[in-house]
Amino acid sequence: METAIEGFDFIDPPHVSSWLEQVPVALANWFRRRYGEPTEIQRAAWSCLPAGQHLLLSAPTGAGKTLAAFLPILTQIIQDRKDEKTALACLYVSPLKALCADTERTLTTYLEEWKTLFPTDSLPCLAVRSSDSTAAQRRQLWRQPPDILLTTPESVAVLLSQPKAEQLFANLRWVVVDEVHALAASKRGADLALSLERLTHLVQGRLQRIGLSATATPLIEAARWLAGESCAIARAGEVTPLQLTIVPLEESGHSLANLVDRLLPEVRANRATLVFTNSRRLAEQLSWALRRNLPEMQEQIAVHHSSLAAERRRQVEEAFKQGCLRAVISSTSLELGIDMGTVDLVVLVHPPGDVIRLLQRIGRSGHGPGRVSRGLVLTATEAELLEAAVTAASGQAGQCEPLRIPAHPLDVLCQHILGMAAAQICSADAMFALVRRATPYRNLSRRDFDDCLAYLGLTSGGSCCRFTLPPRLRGEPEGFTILNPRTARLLRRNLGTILADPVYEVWSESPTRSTSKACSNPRLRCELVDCAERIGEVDRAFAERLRVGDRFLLDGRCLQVRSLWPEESCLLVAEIVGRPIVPRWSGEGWPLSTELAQRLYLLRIQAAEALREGPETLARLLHRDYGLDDTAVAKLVAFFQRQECASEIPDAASCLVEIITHEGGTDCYFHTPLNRLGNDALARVAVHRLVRDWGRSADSLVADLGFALLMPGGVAEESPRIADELRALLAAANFEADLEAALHNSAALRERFQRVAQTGLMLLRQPLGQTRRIGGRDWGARRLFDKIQALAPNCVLLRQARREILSEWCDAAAAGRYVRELEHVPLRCRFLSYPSPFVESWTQMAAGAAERIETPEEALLRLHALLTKRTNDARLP
Amino acid sequence: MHVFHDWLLTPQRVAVHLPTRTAVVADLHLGYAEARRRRGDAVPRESVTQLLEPLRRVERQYMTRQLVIAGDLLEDNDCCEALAEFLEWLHQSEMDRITVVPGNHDRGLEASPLARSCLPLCPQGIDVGEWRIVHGEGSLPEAPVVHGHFHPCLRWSPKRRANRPRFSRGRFAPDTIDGPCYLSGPGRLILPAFSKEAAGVNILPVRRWRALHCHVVVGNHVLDLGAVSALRRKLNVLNHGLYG
Repeated sequence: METAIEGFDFIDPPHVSSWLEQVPVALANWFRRRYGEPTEIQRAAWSCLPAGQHLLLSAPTGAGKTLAAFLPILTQIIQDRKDEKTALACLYVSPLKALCADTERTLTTYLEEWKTLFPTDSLPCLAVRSSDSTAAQRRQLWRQPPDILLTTPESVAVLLSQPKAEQLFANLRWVVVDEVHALAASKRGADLALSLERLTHLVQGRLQRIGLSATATPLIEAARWLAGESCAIARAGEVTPLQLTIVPLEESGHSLANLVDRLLPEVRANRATLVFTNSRRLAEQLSWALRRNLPEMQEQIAVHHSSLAAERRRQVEEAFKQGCLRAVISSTSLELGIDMGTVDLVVLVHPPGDVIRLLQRIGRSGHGPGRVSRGLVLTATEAELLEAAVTAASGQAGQCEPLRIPAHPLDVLCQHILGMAAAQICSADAMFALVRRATPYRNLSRRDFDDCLAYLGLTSGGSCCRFTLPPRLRGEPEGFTILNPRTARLLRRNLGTILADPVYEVWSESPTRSTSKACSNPRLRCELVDCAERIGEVDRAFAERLRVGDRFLLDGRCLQVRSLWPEESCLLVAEIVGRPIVPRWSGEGWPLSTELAQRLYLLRIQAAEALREGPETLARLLHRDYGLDDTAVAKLVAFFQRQECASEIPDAASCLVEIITHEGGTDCYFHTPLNRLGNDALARVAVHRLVRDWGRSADSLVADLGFALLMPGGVAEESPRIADELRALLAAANFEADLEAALHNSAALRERFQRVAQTGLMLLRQPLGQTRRIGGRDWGARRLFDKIQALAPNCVLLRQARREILSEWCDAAAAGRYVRELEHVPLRCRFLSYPSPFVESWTQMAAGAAERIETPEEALLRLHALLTKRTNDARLP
Repeated sequence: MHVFHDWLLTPQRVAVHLPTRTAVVADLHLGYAEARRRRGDAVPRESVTQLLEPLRRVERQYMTRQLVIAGDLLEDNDCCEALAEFLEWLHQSEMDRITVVPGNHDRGLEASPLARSCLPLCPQGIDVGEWRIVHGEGSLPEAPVVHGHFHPCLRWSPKRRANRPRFSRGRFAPDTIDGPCYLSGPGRLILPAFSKEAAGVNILPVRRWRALHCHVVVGNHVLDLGAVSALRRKLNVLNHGLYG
């Protein structure tokens, strides 16, 4: 349990809420009638919220956090109401538009019920502002601000960049930030942290910040992100009990069929089942298969993921809440705090990869005080079974992954510098002081800040990009401001850190619907006139392979392509009966968390020790400590025995490398206690050194708990030097420099630079004028990267891209620590004829592409050589 | 690389008609960065002299006396700075004759008095030997014809399986490939875009180009990859891991 440090006190909840005695009797009665007594978190919150202290509320899903935060706010607004005129008093910020809509529904329900308790005029007025809001709704917001505005971090930044922002936020008193743990760990969190400081500055400090978080460790870090120097923390011990079962699926036969066979009885037996998969593709496949196998429930099974149209997602949420659906299959979109009503069972298809995700997902069932969360984790392989066991044990013990707050993203800072300059004339010193008050920017150096100003075109400060780029700012006698109104307009069109991958919208013919206004494409709008419904979107790469007449799966339905609109990025489809192909979306899958990888590695060592005392000892360990049933235990014991037989179980005293030589070359499998990101860094450096020092090419395969180097050509069988040679590939000396060199011109860095350049407003996502471009969508990665690298290698955006690659795309820090540890342990090489069970299991888990180790030019030369060779061999098809 | 006995395809993306010593180039899109800046991007500019350096190299290496620009000299009508710089470049050039066939991006060129007075414009195309040089937008004249407009390129990525079989024999297949290419067929030569800014149209899915031959530009080489239809088949085979 965390202990308090100065400025961050943990609140002991009083046994009785005295605050509830002070509110109007009718309200207290309403609360007791509806909920009985306040929960621990509510008592804790109400003991300090009315005093105006910043507060972080941490409690498991369903503990009543939303009401804990909002009841005092709503009451205060009602009590302070003098006339009918409303003024923005409270801002609610959540990472999901759906969560805003959900919270609005919940609050509206309360207010409806309160109509009998209070005069209708005194009840607070609500509004939602997100990217889905219409122009009329946005105008209304400025004309007549609501009491409570529910919005997203991007919308807050847009509102703040308006010159009238000061007026709008003049009476703001509370900011409620939902899902703090999800926001703080991302760039969106840095964006919001800066917005919060700007809001505080606008209202001259009279702003109470309230954060809601389900699971965040350490809580003090989350509280620091929320409020800076001091914040009270209320945490509730009322953990919704977890009832978790881990079930290995049959390994023989078709995996999807086995999965469906296992799911059918659960769907039939429960009133409401929520199924989580780790990809949108599997969610679609599963909903399709379930519908076919349960024809009587066909209309009661739905799919929900982020590539479906918002309207469709909302329909599914509503229907599920009202009990009209028996099963919903989701990827990640239903993880965060959306209230899904009564869920009897949550099924996780494959382990989720981190403890927080496990708790979030399982917490969807038994959502509400005093209920039990029932979860079922289905695993496909022994490695997944082991991972699920470790994840579940960590979840039961509350050992969540620590919060990692990204350190001062400079691209986001550039947006805010422009945002502030668009609202008023700024001074660099005052702005620097304000920015440093935001927790993610507390260690920002003046040099970085000045470089950002220089990149944006201000003469003072550094000079990295100044001479080559058009300015966005201009100097004034008393400071600086935005260059011109056009730049301000461009800024507002392009704020935010969410970068959508290129997609095709999918529209279906639906004669009952009149949504032609919703269609943003004028050409398509003319064609369709009143007959189209937006179903969702598919990746551009997938859509471009489709032809008229092709069938594909989306929203659990088989859709046939009627026409393609490449220029508008649209597909017009019709639902038909048939067998569809399943789309693939990019950006899916995530690595095992660093902590889980470590624990999994330790469990394997522990298991090896237990196995030495006999299989019964191992079985007892798995039963006792991980609560696995007999089938699962038997499977795992056999798995460890097979590994011991074929090779050995990696231990802490050495690094095991399994080497297999075959006709195609040599494969070296390294076993490490790192997750995929850490192994990615190791593999990159190894391949880089292999090419540089040995003149040999290699492909690499990266997985959690290990990586492989696949080299053409053989190595001397059981050569005593092989261990030394492989060790040289992972030497600690110059590791960081070699990693930077390996990534210097990589596709990963180029792609990341393009994203950073978009967030940092070098390349605009929504430019002015026509959007036809000969450069294509990857011009930033392909051409701009080279130009900036040549002209200003130290440009802030390039620096930011490099930093992100080293911390997010691969875990340079963890890999660096590991290679230094490796200096003191021997490398054990084992020559095998076949991959060991451990290698087989983690290779199966290795998702995503193999590493790109050559430039497109090198690849083309190799292709040419390959094709010519084959032509000469006369063996071509 | 030589095609049709009278054409030389250079890695600078300039085709040279050897009998007449004419360099033919298409899709220069000068002023691309300028156009992006006008729409709000903050990107660096490049000088026209720098951009046309490869053309100068071809001129020196193959002693070309004529230059034909087969359309899309400029990115759009507002690239005045780029046009002025190009005219300056022309002034310094030692070519005997320079002709510009306006493309779909050059609509304003014919309207511009400066361009009309300084540039020999041939909207209908020009003959070089027995070949007709046009931009390539709309219907083509009778063969033999040389044109640009489409920015052909070869783009291909090996299919990635989430769970790669452990002894996948295709694993040494080349990684993502992306390069501009010339296409040649009976009485037809399609030029790649000279501008490096152009992303290009991938030749693999385009049905009407299946019968053409692909010559891809890689660094200092132009490589013959054979007929597009056969290339598609071979790449498919690569995808299924049959190559080792």
